Amino acid sequence: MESKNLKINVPDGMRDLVFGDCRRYSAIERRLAEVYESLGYREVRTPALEYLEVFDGGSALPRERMYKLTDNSGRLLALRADNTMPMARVAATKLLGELPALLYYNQSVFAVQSENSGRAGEIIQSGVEIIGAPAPRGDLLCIYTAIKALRVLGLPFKLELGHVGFFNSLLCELELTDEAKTDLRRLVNAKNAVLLGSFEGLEKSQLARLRRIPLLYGGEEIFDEAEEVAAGNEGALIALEYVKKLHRLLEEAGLADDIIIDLGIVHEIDYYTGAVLRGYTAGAGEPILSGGRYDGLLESFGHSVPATGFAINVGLVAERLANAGVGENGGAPDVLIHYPGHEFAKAAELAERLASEGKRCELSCFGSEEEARLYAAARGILEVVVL
Amino acid sequence: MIRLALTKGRIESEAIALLERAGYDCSDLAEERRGRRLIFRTGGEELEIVLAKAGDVLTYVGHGVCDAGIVGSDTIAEQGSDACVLLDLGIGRCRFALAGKAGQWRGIGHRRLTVASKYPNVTRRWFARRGADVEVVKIEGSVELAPLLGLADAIVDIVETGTTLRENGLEVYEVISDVSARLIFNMASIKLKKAETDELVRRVQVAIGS
Repeated sequence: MESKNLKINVPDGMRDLVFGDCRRYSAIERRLAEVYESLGYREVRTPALEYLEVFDGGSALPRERMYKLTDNSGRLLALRADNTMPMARVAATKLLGELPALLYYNQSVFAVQSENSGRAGEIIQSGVEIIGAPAPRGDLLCIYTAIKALRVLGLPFKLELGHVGFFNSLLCELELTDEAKTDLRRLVNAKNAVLLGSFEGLEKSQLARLRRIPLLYGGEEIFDEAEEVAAGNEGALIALEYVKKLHRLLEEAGLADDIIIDLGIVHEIDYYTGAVLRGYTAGAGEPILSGGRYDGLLESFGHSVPATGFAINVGLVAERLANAGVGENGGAPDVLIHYPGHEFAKAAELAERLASEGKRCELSCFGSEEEARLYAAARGILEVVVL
Repeated sequence: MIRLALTKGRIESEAIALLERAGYDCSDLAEERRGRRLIFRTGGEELEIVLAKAGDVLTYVGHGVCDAGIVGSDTIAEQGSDACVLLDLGIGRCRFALAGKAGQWRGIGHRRLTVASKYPNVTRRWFARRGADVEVVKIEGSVELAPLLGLADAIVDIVETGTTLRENGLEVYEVISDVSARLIFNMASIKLKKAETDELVRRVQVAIGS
């Protein structure tokens, strides 16, 4: 294997963001923060490094894929592997006196990606957590926030609504080992109808039912089929009724146009306990938004409090906007001020005046006017003022 | 329109025949019209077909630049994938097998085995489930050479008829699993283009008679 020149390369999965990328990232982050603030959310930032235990237990990311290091007493630390778990830690340790707490954040999560997969190892997430708000009010607020957030991004989107209780209840009635249940969960989550059909240890009728679960996605027309699949299973029927209720309430509020349903959502993250969300936009192969209710998570930090939230993948959104040509231009100043070396005071005065007129201006770094003009042309600066 | 990545090589002609039976006009892919192009349209413009190597089919579908793909379950098992595997197409049938020199298999014992394969992940997983300590050597071309040259005690490979094995004095020790081509989809594509992807699944289902 050819060794990289480590001095001039970045590690696998890491990326430099230059100019247009930064413009798009900043614009997305700012717009989302404005939406969150307008709805009463307050910002929280957590450290980049936490004890590894904070991220354990929800399998948001398996230990093997966390970036790990040790502190000075040899304890294992992890680079922020997930945002919800640190937010839950903050809420459980610092905010119990002021519930419900509406939090928002804009910070990176890190995951080791397999080599040459082309996937980002650092993902900037902009998201919210609603701590201490039970269903359905907390869910409605969460979905409402998600719709408002997706709308300001300027991309066509669909917000998908599901409920992990639907599959989990059906899974409960099967007599299988924990290992087999984990396999089943993985297959349903990946919508692998083929391997589901040949799953061992189940009766034909059970298999026939299981195979229909991954296909329960679409508009409200799937509710009838879901009812057939859930027949006789109280938990699944309750989950289904709940999703129908949310859908009806959203419809009454005129918010159902961009909503789709998937009752086959199982979620790879174990900590979700109720309604779950995913947001999609054309061209992005994975969800740009992901989240849901996690009523049990705060218990792992010592307090039982219901909670829900979502995160938007800022990098994926920026990529789609770049693809649509958004934010490619711009960034060039309006004026380049060229001045003789001893006239800095005049140049600074002019720059102040132009700035007060709302113009962006750059002070020339060149000694000759010719170089300054060539630079301005290359950089797209339309006006050169020579003092 | 749906963009479908189709695996070049072993399953290609069977897959094209299947798409034809499903009512997609694939004449644009005919040998004499193909040239060096890599992207094709079906008549009626319902599909855009991209020819790619098996591993790349998973990559393109995984990233969502292709909505759907036709690829062998051997590649899915080896590479892993988060794509939705909606149909077993029943074409390109073969088996994953552990094989080696005829009459030489001693089973998994205390001796550390060396196993050569184009599928190191499948190999490692299968032996790991049996708690066996093996050295896996990744081979790119004809894996059958490895035991003949004395590099490996056994190989893990896909076996169709077993002719290559027999002609080289090798035999199947154990069948690991069945392999066939699958119709896969990107998770976002089936959500955002449901009507079109449903239509593709339905027509292919009719064509394979399931």
